[in-house]
Amino acid sequence: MTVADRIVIVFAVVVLISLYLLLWTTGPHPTHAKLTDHDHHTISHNLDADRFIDVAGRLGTSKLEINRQRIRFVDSPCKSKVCIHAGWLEHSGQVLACLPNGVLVEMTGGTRQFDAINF
Amino acid sequence: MPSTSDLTPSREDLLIAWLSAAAIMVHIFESALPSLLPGLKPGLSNIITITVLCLYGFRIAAWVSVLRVLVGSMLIGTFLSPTFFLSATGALTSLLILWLASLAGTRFSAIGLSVLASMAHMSGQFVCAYFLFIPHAGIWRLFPVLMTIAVILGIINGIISQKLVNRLTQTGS
Repeated sequence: MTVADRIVIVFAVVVLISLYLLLWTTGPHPTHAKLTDHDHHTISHNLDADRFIDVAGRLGTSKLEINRQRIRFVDSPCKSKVCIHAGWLEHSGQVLACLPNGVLVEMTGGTRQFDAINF
Repeated sequence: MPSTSDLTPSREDLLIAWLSAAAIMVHIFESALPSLLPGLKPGLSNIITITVLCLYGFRIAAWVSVLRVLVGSMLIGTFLSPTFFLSATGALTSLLILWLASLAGTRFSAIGLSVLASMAHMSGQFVCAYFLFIPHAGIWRLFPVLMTIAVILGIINGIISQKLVNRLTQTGS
């Protein structure tokens, strides 16, 4: 191994460490939840205050709860209630939809992370 | 006026053809190996590129690498598919780095060259994947992990190349 090789390996290690520091440290939490109703109207709700929000959907009213920077569906007129069973959204970039009712929630602000990983 | 069949291949043409054939063989063998993570391959055909670079210089190594990606993808059936574009960008980025490194003369051995090529290959591939296929900032979370594996594989491939270079220069062929 030559001197230049050693420099390359040191360089590689420095690059790797900075990559982990840069891309793997968790960023700030999401600040807003973007709610889209069946008419494609989008309203951004601040996550700071805990409260309930009603969103008009295709079938009726979906009720969402904001609690400790998180959001979830608590009531929905849909049949399967998949949206309610999905539970809390707490990371930026996460998306949850009640398809029958046409209501969409997306977490925004902060550092976006995966909403799902598929191989 | 000479017809195309009258073209006689030079010694260098034959050398490139033989070496490319070896690289294509390794490329096809490698494509049959199962992959643990998406975008992850051991990069065995880079062993040939690095060895050729050490033995015959950059020009021939570039020919072998480009021909390997083109012909290899045609034989596997991935030509112009996402795999092909990832592989081609990776190969071109690592050739660029190897060209810069070859300007430094013989200061680098196969190990240093292989690590540089491997890291360049992975970076090129990621930029290509981001702009062409998955324009989501999330894929960069995968980058440090794949880069770590790229460095480790680069070192292993470099050691194999170095051994090949040593053996081939000893036998004098």
